[in-house]
This record gives sequence, structure tokens and C-alpha cells, in this order.
Amino acid sequence: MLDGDMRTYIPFSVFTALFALGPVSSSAVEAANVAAEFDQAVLPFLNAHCSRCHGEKKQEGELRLDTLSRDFASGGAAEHWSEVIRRISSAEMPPEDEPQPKAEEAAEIVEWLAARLKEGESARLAQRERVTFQKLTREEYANTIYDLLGVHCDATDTAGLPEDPNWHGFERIGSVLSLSPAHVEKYLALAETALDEALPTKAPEKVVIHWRAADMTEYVTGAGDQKPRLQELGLLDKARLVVWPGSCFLGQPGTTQKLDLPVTGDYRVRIRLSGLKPPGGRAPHVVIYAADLDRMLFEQDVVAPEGQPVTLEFHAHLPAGHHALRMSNEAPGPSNSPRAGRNGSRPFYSIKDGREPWQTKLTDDAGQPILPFLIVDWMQWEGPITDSWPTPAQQQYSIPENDVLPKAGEVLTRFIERAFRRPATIMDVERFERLVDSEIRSGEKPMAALKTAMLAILCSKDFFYIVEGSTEKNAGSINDWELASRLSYFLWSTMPDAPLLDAARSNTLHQPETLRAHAARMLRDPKIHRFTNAFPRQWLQLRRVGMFPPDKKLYPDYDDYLQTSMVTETTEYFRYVLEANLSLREFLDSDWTMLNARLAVHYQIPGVTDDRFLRVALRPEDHRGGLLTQASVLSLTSDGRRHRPVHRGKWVLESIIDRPPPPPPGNVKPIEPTPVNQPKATVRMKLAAHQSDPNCAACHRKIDPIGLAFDNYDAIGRWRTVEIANDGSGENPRVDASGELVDGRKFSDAAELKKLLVADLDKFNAAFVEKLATYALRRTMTIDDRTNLARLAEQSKAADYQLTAIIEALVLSDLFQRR
Amino acid sequence: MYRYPLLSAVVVLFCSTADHSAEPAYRTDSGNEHLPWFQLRSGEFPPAGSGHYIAGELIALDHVNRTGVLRPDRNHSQRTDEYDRPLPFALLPYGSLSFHGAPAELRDIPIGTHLHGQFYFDKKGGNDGKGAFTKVLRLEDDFSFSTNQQRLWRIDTIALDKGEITVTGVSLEGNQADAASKVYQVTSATRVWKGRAIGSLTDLAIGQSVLMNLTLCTLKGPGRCTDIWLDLESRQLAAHQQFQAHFLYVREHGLAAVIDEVDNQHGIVTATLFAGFDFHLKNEFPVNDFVGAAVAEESLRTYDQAGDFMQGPILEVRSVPVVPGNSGMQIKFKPERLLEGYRPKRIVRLFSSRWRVVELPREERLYE
Repeated sequence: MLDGDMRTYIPFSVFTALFALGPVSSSAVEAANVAAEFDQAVLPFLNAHCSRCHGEKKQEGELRLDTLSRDFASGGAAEHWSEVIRRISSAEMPPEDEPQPKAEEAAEIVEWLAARLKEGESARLAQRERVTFQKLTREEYANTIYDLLGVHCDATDTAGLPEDPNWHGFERIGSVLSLSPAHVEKYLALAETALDEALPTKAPEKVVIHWRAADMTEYVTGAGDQKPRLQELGLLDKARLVVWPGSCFLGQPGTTQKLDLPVTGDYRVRIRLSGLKPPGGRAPHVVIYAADLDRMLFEQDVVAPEGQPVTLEFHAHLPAGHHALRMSNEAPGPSNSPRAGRNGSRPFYSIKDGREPWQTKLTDDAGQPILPFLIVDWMQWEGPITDSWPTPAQQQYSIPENDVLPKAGEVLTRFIERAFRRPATIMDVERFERLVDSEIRSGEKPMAALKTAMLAILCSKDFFYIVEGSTEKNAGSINDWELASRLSYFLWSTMPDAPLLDAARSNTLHQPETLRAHAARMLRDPKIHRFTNAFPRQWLQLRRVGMFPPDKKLYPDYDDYLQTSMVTETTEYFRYVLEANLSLREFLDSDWTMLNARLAVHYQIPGVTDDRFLRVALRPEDHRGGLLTQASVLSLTSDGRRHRPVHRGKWVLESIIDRPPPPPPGNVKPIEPTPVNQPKATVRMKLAAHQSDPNCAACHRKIDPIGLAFDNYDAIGRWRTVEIANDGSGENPRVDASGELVDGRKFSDAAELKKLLVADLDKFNAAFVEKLATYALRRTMTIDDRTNLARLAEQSKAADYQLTAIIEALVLSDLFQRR
Repeated sequence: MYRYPLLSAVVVLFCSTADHSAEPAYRTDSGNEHLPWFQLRSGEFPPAGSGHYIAGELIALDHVNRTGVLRPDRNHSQRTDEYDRPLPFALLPYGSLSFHGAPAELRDIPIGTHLHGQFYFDKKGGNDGKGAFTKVLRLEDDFSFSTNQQRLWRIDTIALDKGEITVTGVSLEGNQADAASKVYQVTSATRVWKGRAIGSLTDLAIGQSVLMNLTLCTLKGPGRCTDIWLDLESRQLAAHQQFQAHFLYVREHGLAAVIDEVDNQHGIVTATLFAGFDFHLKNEFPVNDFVGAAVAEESLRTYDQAGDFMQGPILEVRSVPVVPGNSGMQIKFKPERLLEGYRPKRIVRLFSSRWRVVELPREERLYE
């Protein structure tokens, strides 16, 4: 047991009394439970320490606790109870001149109230009306546009939709995702762009933009305009562009290359280059970034000899217009701020020919690289690339020049059904037909008129909201159309495909065998990568990785690619567990992980040279395995300068055990640096001194041991046995990762803690099931869901906790099909 | 052999560090005339005594690139049509100069100064490309040359009406007189240095032991005195002034060194300082102090030393055998980063951390 379970304190008589009343809803039972618990656990404390000033006779600060509502789902009462927690946990209350409670006693009260407040918050967020509207996330919006029209939508660019808010990492909680005026404006612009690309009036003219090295920057040909001279000498095409670490193609970090594209579309980009990797060092890493879009277009480690360049290819969907591209080698290297990091005035032809003598040295005398660097020959942009002509959207949604309306009605019916993920009603079709008619009457051509109607459809709430329920009746479960959407947005983050819509249309989707077959089909489909990417990111709150960028002086090896690799390890790990149908145990501990060369260098695991993420067997001395010792998880709690054991402990309690501790009081003093004349101390030692306050110790007893178990990993997740302390004097102290759980079980380090967690797998199982359901149902789980969640957890256990089985059980559960 | 009888005697002294234990495999001024002259090898210092003595008058110079043109003194080995033919030269990277008895740069030497030098044969040198003695290890004015030989000139006669003085070479103590005396011109433009002041020709006196700098040695007989230092104090003052110019120059331009070794893995550079600087400056590079290194070319020009030099701690200072061009001082240091120009046999300018690395005038910089 990692922490106490208050429900065990409820007297049996309370239960028997409640059940004697006959059939009651689970929420009513829970409410009675809460009331009983309150009377037993909280009321005596309030009577002893609070009621004299906040009771019947006296209401200091206009606060009366004996009549304060105990409905924690009520926003007003929750605010007052939240304030009570804050005052008690910070020891502001009771006042100094009043009898003081024991610290453990106060901590128990705080913990109980905080747990009820969390339940209350979940209940508020999960409140359902007759009709619920759950907005698509911007990622879902883009996927839906693609599947509907066959064109990419740049919804996550800076000019796209605003970033989605999240609730404890989950970015798809319907009650949190709000619609702002900015959304409406962006929906219109994005839909217009998508329709123009999907239904162009004429075939887009393909362009090929070829940049020789000499075209990319003037520095390739040296200072001044030396192009004519080099052209005359036949050297212009032989000049190559050297890109050393941190440098941009244009010379100075931060500078960009302008790209003008005539039309929006998919572009094929090719780049020919060599990548020189120092023996035993990092490979050069080419990055192509569109600064104006704030979008990484491409990145990859490149290893290719000087004389045998490779041609890399990628596709990017880019809007028409001017783009500011930044192309660089993001491998770590010395600073480029002094002169040595600049371009020179002589063209580069070969390593043998050499570079400016004052430039940073890239090769030794044998021509072997000292630093990782790229040599670029050319880059080419070709597009827009179209799979077919007419476009897939034109093939589906075209209307003739004459006798427009009947055909428009057909097209609109099909389009509405797909866009709204439900049958098109006569009212729907007529409304948009009238729009087509009105446009044609005002002189528009038929296809332009149809596009206007389609634009209106894409800007309708039924498109960018997932709508469930009916105004006519308070349905307890969802219909097959809603089930198709729920399933599709759960596993694919997009609209249902044709087979799902067919099943919904034939009203067979809810049948277990049909539903199971569709779920299995969807798990095998390549689009499942959207789930394996999005769910672990949201469940584990991976968006926090790099939120506080590590200090460059303390962690000079940390770079963007490492950060990306850290997160990708976790999502790839999740993908592998799903594809191989492994057990949830693998999330807690394993003898393998997914690594690329960059992360392997970070973990000091030899023999990994591939830039792709591949399964790698781990040895005990690698000190990895499972999610908890992955660099992403270890670094997302750091503050950029040091690891944060308390935050790590809190994260484990929240994400793995689903028992988040109460919020800290507001008056916590920061950890002071060790004086120069005192020996260096680990963060653990400082925390021990910090926790001498009994008011803190009660909560930290549960949090800290779990966080401190990972002290062998620094702020960016590197293994260590000694903690580097920047203050104090003497030797850096050795790490002590040992600890004891609240139930008395001891461990010596993270590896042993992981074993204890595996021994408690059912707790993690229950937590995981709840996280998965939160993601799938786009709402917080409430007391009402406990029975269903418990049943799911049992099904998971019966299937030996296999991930695929858990997903299938969830999809087939009452919970999944309930409103 | 030489126009100046003194020189035939002192050439051997000038090359006094030559190893005479074995016959060298190349021709020397006092060796086998049938052997080829010594050929310089890139990145290596030449052996002692391997150069060829040439004296002459500086008639053009490019102090930035350390090149110039000498009008060689006439000698009996020359055909008459070779007389006074200008000899373009370039100072070797480790080549050095001395002026007024102190280390100097080409910029310190006035046009017209008569110089004594050690030259090396360049197979591709000369106006016709057939080879010439164009590589210079060492150049000295008469003041420095005589000082190094520990010789003075004793005034035997003074004929101001003719503008002539007769002198004989003697030791510092006034004995060991040359077999023959010399006649030099003095003019109203001749500067006479007396004590800490400037004197005049009337301060010349028979029997005085003086030092002279000369010009027009070839065309107008034995030569014309540009300067005459009458006493020790005046000579010390002249040397002191030149030392100050030298110190100033070194602090602003650094000391040139050749890179012996680069440990690319650990970023450590080992370099040997060239000769030609005052030995007191060796104390400016103690171990653990920082040293700055700017990449230089063979002309010793840097690119933009204030912008591109790299600094780092001195790990070791050790003595190495002294040979011509080599100061005998080797420094191992760890710059903050390695530069392309930090490669064996390449040249750097080293700056003590006690000197401020300043921006040089544009004409001196190679960086565009």
C-alpha cells in the first residue's frame, strides 16, 4: 500500500443502512459514504480546532464551517474547502494562540479534503447535458480534414489553431476545450485553404526550385560576388557548403533562407549531402525548420563520406507564399559566437583543399572529422505533388455545369454525412442547397457555389464538435454513429472511415462481434500510430519535457534532437508494447527499450548506430527498463538546473499510481544553497533538513521516497553515482537512492522500487485503466464510473494485463458506450 | 673574398654555431664549392652554418609581408654585369632582424641601411626563376653586426674638409686591430651621437672607438656614415630605444611560433617559439598562465588577431635545442578550441595573458 485508503474507515453499519434502502444509484451511495467519512474523519477535527471561530456563534472572516456544503462537486463550496486546506497545510490555522493539532492529524484532514475536491472537480468536468459538444483538438481537426478532403491541414502551425489546453496532460477533455473567437476565424481560414487545395479550379502548375550550394548562401563562393569568376573557372558547381555544428546554412545561427512557393500543397524535398562523424562521436544532424510556420520540416542524423554523398528525401505540406527556412546541423559543438564559428571568404571544395585557418577545426591532418559536420551539394523543392488528377476530392464532390441542384443535393448529402459523422437530415441538405442556389443566383459558377456550401459545413459546430445525445430524449447510451466517432477519435484521432460509417448506417456497430472486429482492424491500421503517439504523451504529460530548458552550461550535451529522441523513446516504447501485445508490466520494468543512436549516446549504451528507433536489449548495468527510468520521464520534472525528487515522486503518484498528493501549502521556503564553508550536500540531504517541519513531513513521507529512488539519474536522465553539487566545499557527495514506502517496504534504488511497483501491479493496472478511459471518453472519471473501471481492471488482470486486451475490453465495455 | 677585409674574418664567427665535426653534405661559405647549397625544408629549422653570407643595402621593403630588396655589396665572385643587381628577398618565418643591437622588425630599418645577412638558396627564386638567395634567416645593421662580433672602429684620421675619416676595426678593449684600415665618408647629414645627446662632426677625435651605420657602400666607395656613436652611453641609449620598440611590437603582434604537435582528441597544442626576440620575454609565459594563439601565415601576418585568437592555459614550458631560427623554448597549451590553422608546421602568434591582444591596422590583417 502506497498510501492510506480512507474508505476502509467507514463503519459497516453505514453500508448496511444504505443498502437497506433498496436500489440506489452508485452516486447516491458514494455521497452517503462521503458524508459518513466526513463525520468520522473531519468533523472531530473541525469541532476541536475550527468551530470556536468559524461555527454557529462566531464566523471570523465570514466563514462558517459547520454549515458549509459538503457537496465537493459544487464550485462555491469547493473554493471554501480549498482555502481551508491551504490554511491548515500552511499551519496558518489554527492560530498560534489556539491549541495546535498534531502534524499527522492535520495532514490526514488535508489529504482527505484534497481527495474529495479532486473527485468534485472530476464530477464537475464530467457533467453531461442532454447533448454534449466536445471540440476536436487541433490535431484531430487536421486529421479529419485530411481524411475528408485528402489534403493536409497545417492546423498546428503558428498561423493555425491555438494550442489546446490540457487537464493533467490530457488535451482532449471536452469540458476544458473551449471555443474562442480566434477558433472561429481560424476554422474559416483553414477550411477555405483546404477546399481550395482539394478542389482547385485548374491543375496546379508544378515547380522545381533547385538550389546549388552556391545558391544557398553567398558564403559558399566567398566574400563578395565571386560567382561570375567561379563560373568562368568552372568551379561554381564544385563549391560545397560546409555546415558545422550549430551553424545555419547562411552562416550565422538564426539566419534563414527564403523560399517562395506559388501554391499550397505537398512538396517533395531532396537534399544531397555528406555527413562526417568523428570516430566514437556524434553524427551530424541536419535540421530543416520553417521559422515562419514554427514547424520542423525534417531532421535526421547523416553519415556519408565526403566523396559519397547521399540524397535524402522528405515531403512537407506548405502553404503558398514566402517562407523563412532555417537549415542547420544541430549536433553539439563549440559556440559559434566568436570569429571561429563564422564563414570564410574562400569557397570550400574538399577537406583536402581546406578551410580558413581561423575557422573552428573540423578535421585532423588525416582528414578524419573532429567535429560532426555536413557538406551540402544541393537542395531541391518540387511540387505540389498530387496523387491523381482530378484530385480525390474532385472525384467525390464534383457537380455538373447544368442541372446543378439535384446533383448538389447528392454531393452535399454524402459530404454532410462524412463531415458531421451522422446521417444528413433533410433540413441539413436543404439549408446548404439553398446556399448553393443563392451563390449561383449571384453569379458564381456551380463548383464555386458548392465550395461555399462545403465551407459552411466545415465551419458548422457539427463538424468541429463531436456531438453526442439528443435534445429530444436523455439517452443513457450512445448510438452507432456516435460510437463510430468515439471509437475512431479514440484510436485514430480522426473521423470514422467508410467501414465504420457503414456499420453505423446498418446499426450493427454496437454488436460486440462487429465492434470487436472493427477495434481489431483499427489496431492493425497504420493510423493507430496517432494513438500510440498521442496517448502516452498525454497520459505521461510528456509535453512538459523541455518546458524548462536545461542550463547550457550545466548540460552542454542537451539539444533539441536529444529532447525529441527522449519523447520518441517513450512513444515508440508504447507502440511496441501495443504491437507486440505485451503486458502493462513492461511499463514498470523491462529488459529492453527503444533507442536511436542519439539516445544511446546519452544512455552510454554501446552498439547503437541507427538513427531510427529500434528495440535494444538492456543489461543490468545500463540501469534502464520500463517507463520510469526513461530520460523523458526523468527530465520532465526537472527545473532546468537540477533534478526535483519531490516533483518526481508527485509525478509517479499522479501518473502511475493515480493517487496525487494534496497541493503544497503556499508558504514553502526554497531550498537554500549550502554555505561555502560546509561540505557539499545532495538535494536529498537538503530536503531532509527542509522536512524537519512536521507539517511538511506527513505528506513528504509519501512523496519523497519515491522521488528520491531516482536520484541516480540527473536532471536530464543520465545515470550517475555521485551528485554534482555546485555549492559547498569538498568532494561531491555519493547518491543515496534508498528509501521506504509508507507501508514499510524498503528499497535500495530505482531498480528495487520498480520491482515493488511490479509486485503491486494491480494498483498500476487500475490507474492505467482510468487514464485510458479518460483519454477515450474525453472526460474525467467520476465516482459513478468506479464500478465500470473496477470491472475493466479485472478484465485486464484476467488477460494478464495485455495492452490490446485492455483496449478491446474498454471498447466493448458499458463505460465506452455510455453517455 | 669580400670587399671589406674585416668580413672575411668574421663570417666564420657569424656562423659560429656551425658543427664542424663533420663535413656537411652541402656547400657553405667556407666549405666545398662543388656541393649544392643547402635547401630549406618546410617546417624544419636549418642547421647552423648552412646559410650564405650576403651584405648589401636595403633599397626597398614591404614591412607588412616581411619582404624587401637588397643591393648586394660588390665582391670578387661577381661578374661586372652582376654588380648592383637588386636582390629581392623574403624573411623566413623564423628569420629575424637586429637593429642598433636589439631585436627589430623590417619596419624599424630605414631605407638605405647597410645590412649583413644569412641567406638561403631558393631554386625557384630570382627574377629569371633559375634560383637565387632570396630566403633570409638573419639581417643586421652594421651597429648590430659589429656589436655581435664585439668589434669597434678606431678613428685614425679625420679630414672633414674632404668629408672622410679613416678607421680600423679593433676589439672592445681597443686592441686586435684589423690589418687594414678603412676610409668612410662623413657628411653634414651624418648624425653623431654623444652620451645622451646629439653631437656634431667636430666631436670626432682621433683614437675614439666608435660604431657606425653605413649607406651607399657600393656606389660611393667604402660607404657613407649615416650615424656614428661616439661612446658606450650613446650606443646603450640607441639599443635601449630599439628594445622599447621591440617590446611594444611584440606585445601588439605576439611572438611567432611553429606548431610541433596537435593532440586533436584533447585539444592540446605544442609550439616552439622562433628566435629573434629578447630573452626576457620568455618570462611572460609561465606554466598555468594563459596564452593566446592567433593563426599566422609564413609572412607572420595574422588574419584578425583580436577577433580570432584562442586562449587557454599553458600546460608545460620546456627547453629544446637551440638551432638557427629556434628560440629553444617550447610551449604546450590547451586553447579553448582548436582552429583549422592549428596544425603541425603551421605558424601562430602567441600572446602572453599579460598583453592585450589589440586590433591591428587594416593593411596588416589578412582577414577581409
